[in-house]
Amino acid sequence: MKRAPLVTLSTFAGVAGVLLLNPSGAGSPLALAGNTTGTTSGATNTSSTSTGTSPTTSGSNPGATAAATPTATATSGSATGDAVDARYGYVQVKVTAKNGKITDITAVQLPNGDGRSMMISQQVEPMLKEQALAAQSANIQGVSGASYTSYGYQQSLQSALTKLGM
Amino acid sequence: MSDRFVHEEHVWGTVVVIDIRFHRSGRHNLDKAIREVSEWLHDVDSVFSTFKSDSIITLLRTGQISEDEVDAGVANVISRCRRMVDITEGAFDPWAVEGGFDPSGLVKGWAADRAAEILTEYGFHDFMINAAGDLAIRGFVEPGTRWTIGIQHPHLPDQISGSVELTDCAIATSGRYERGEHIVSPHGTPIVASSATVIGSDCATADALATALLIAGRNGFQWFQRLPGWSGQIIIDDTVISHGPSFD
Repeated sequence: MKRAPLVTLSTFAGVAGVLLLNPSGAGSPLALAGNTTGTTSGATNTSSTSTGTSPTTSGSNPGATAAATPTATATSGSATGDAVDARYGYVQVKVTAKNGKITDITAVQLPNGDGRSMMISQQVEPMLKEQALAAQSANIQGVSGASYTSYGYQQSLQSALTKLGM
Repeated sequence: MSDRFVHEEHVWGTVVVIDIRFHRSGRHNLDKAIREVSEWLHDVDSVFSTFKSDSIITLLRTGQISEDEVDAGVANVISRCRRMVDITEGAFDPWAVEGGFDPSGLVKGWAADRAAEILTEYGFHDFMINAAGDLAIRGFVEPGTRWTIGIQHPHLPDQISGSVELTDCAIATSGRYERGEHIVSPHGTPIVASSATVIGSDCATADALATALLIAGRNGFQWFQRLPGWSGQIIIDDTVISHGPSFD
């Protein structure tokens, strides 16, 4: 048995909060800066967190950088996504963007019925970031112990992006 | 043609991610295999969900049926649970849960093991099944490269505390962050560990061991280190205590 101080891996800390999503399942992935990080310079992976059954392209496209991808859309403004039934209640998020980049994602609605739902709700936002972190890091294929990945959150987010034209 | 296929199955109120690589196999029967895995996961939900009033587990919990009236799958889970109670000296005890027998702490991993078996039967060698944070890992992410799996940081939800490179094994992490701060062990003692991660042969055992090690804390290493081939790590405040080859 050995003991060691708990150290956060700085490699990953720097890119926490950066999301890569492919909203429509086609076209270039967008780089989405979450509300904790203002830069996407650490992201060099085109892997998406797309839903559904369609094949996802490999995460090891060496030539692609996500940082400046949303060229055509210089969207600014905010939009509220659909309320999505996430089994324990409805999930709805509001997205704010500036110059084609997401600057903030807030939860408008999260399930808060019984104790379990409360617990899940509290995990939803952090877990989404975690999932994004896992998806955009070229070196990590999954995260052990990150259980409450939110399908509803992601769906609502994508509908908000569509409304924004992103 | 992509050399990777990712499927997300929304089940159990969460997501199971299936990530298959094709450097040693083709895509023959891929759709069929994914369909079979999905059906399996939903079957598990309908049998083992404690949220469904008509699930076998609910009937068991409410005493409407007894443990000797269940099918082979449920009987298998019950016997696996019983074995884990023995191994963990009671730190994992689905019978000590409020509301009656609740094998959720093993079933997620058990379901992942069978899902991995299905993919193997269909001829796939290299894949990861991420059953909401419990992972079954097979083969390689690309030729000669093991899968790199992050471990959820217990205090910082959007970060990982470290990562491990794995092949042909299972990894599970249990944390107080997902169980609420007020949880006490089946013996009524408070839990001091923030999270526990275990790595070993199968996901069902890993799932149960992670929960048990979280509950038992550093004393849990007394029984844990008797398990051949298993590695474990607990985080208590800002200290990481590790045992076994995966954490060397």
